[in-house]
Amino acid sequence: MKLFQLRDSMFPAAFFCLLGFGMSAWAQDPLLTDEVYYQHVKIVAPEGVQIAPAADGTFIPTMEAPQIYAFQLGKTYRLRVINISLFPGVELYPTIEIVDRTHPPVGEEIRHAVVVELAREDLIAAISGKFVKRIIYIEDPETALPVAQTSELGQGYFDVPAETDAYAMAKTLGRPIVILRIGGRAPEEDEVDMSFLFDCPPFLHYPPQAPVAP
Amino acid sequence: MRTCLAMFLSLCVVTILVGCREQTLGPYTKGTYDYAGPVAPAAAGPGPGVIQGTGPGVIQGSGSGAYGTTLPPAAPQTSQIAFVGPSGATLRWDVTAQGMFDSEPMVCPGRQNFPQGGIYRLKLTDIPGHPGMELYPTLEVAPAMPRTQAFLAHSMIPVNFTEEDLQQVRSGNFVTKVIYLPDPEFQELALAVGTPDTIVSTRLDPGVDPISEADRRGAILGIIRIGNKSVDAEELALSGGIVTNDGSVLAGGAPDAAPVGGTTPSNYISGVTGPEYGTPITQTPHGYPGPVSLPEGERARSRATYPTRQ
Repeated sequence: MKLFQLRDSMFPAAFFCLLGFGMSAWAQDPLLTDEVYYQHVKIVAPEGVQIAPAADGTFIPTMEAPQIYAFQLGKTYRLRVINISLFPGVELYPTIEIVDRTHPPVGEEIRHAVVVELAREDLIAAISGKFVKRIIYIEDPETALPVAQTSELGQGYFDVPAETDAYAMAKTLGRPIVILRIGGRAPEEDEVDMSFLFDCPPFLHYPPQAPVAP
Repeated sequence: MRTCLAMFLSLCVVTILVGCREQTLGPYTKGTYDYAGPVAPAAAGPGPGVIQGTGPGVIQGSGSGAYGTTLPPAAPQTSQIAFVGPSGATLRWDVTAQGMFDSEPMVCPGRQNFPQGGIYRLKLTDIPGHPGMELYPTLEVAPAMPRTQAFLAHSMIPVNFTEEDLQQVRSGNFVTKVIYLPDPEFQELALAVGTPDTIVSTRLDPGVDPISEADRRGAILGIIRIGNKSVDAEELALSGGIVTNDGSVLAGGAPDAAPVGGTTPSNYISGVTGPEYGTPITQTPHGYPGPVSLPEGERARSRATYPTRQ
C-alpha cells in the first residue's frame, strides 16, 4: 500500500497545484471571459420612417421600419432615422442602450424580440429640441395587468412626472431591458466621430442582408 | 511515483471541474464553439431561418472587445450648440488664428460643435434690426458631467440672443446667460424631461450670481457673456481666444495664449477624477494639499535623530 503513503508536507503543494489548475481552467473558459449575448430587438416606427444603425464608423443603408436587430448586451447603438412624414430632410439620431436581456426559448429569439417603438410624438418632440427618454421594461408578472398587448394598439406607455426618474420607476414596475433616447443632435457633415457612434458595437441584422460595401 | 500520482489527481480534478460546468450550462454550450469574434451569438441559436455564423447578415463593427471588458460608452467630447436667434444674424469664430473670425459664416439658426471645457470668442454681425452692430460674445462650453452626459450625447444646447439681450448690451450693460439642465424638482414639463433652461443676469435681483443660481437649479451646459466691447485681433492674442480649462490651446488659438479660467465645475467625481470629498485642498509651500501651517517637507530622518522631549 505504498500508493497512499504521501507525506503530509506534500499536501499543501498538491492543493495549491490543483487550485492553480482549476483557476486557470476557469479563467480561460471563453464562456466566462468572452460571454456575449445578443438581445433581439424589433424597432418599429411610423409608416415610411427609415432607420439604420451605425457600423464601422458610418451608417448602413437605411431601411424602412420595422427592422429586427440583435444588439449586444451592455452596449449602446446609434441609429439614423430619416424620412419622417411632414418633416422632409429632417434626420434624427436616437440611441438604444441594452441594459438587460430576455430569456426566450432557444430558436425563438426573433419571435420574442423586444419591441422598441419610435413613436411619432417622441420624434416630433425631439425635432422641436426636447430630449426624450423611454424605458422599455418587462412587467413584473406579479403586478402586470392581465391585458393582452396587440400590435394594433401599439406599445403601451405612460409618462412619468417630471420629478421622477423614469428608469427608477421602471425598476419598480419590472425589469428594464432597453433605454431609448431621442434628441435633436446630429453629427457634423463629413466627420466620423466614433464617440458619437459609441464605437459602433457589432450587431446582427435580420433577415440576412447583402454584404455591406467597405 | 508520487509525482505521477499528484499529476494524475490534478488532471482528474480539472476534468471534473470543467466537465461539471459544461453540463450545467445547458443547451447553449452544446456543439462546437468559436469565441473569436461574432460566432458566439450564432452558436447560441438565433432561431430557424436565421443566418448562422459570420454570413452576410452579420454586420461586424469595429467594436472594442467583448462585453464586460470595455469601458462604458464614452460621452462625446464636443457639445453641439444650436444658435437659434436672432434669425438672420451671422456668426463667426476663429479657425486658424485668434481674432481672425475666419470660419464659414453661419446664419442663424444653425448648429455647430464646440469642444467641451473651452471658452470661445464669437463675432455676431448682421443682426436684424440693429444695422452696423457688431458684438463679440464669448461662449463657455461646460464639460460633460454624469448628469449631462446623456443629454449632450443626444441634444443640442440652445443659445438665443434675444432682443432684450441686445437692448441691454446697447445700453451698456453686461449680460450673462447661463444655460443649464434643470434638476427634476425644477422641471415643469413632464413630456420631455431634460429641456434646458436659461438664466439671464439682467432678470435676476441685484447681487445674485446667475452661475451660482443655475448651478443650484441643475447642471450647467454653457455660459454666454455679452458686452459692448469691440475686440480686435491684437487684444485677443493677449487675452487668449480659444483655450481649454487645462490651458491647452485648441484650433484657432495662439500657442502662447494665456489660459482663460472657466467658472463651470469640472468633470469632478469624488474619489474618481479628483480627491475625495472633504479632502483639504489648500495652497502650501510644497504644492501638496494640506494645512497651510505645515512646514515644508524634508527628507525623512532616522528615528534616532528626532528631537526628544526634555
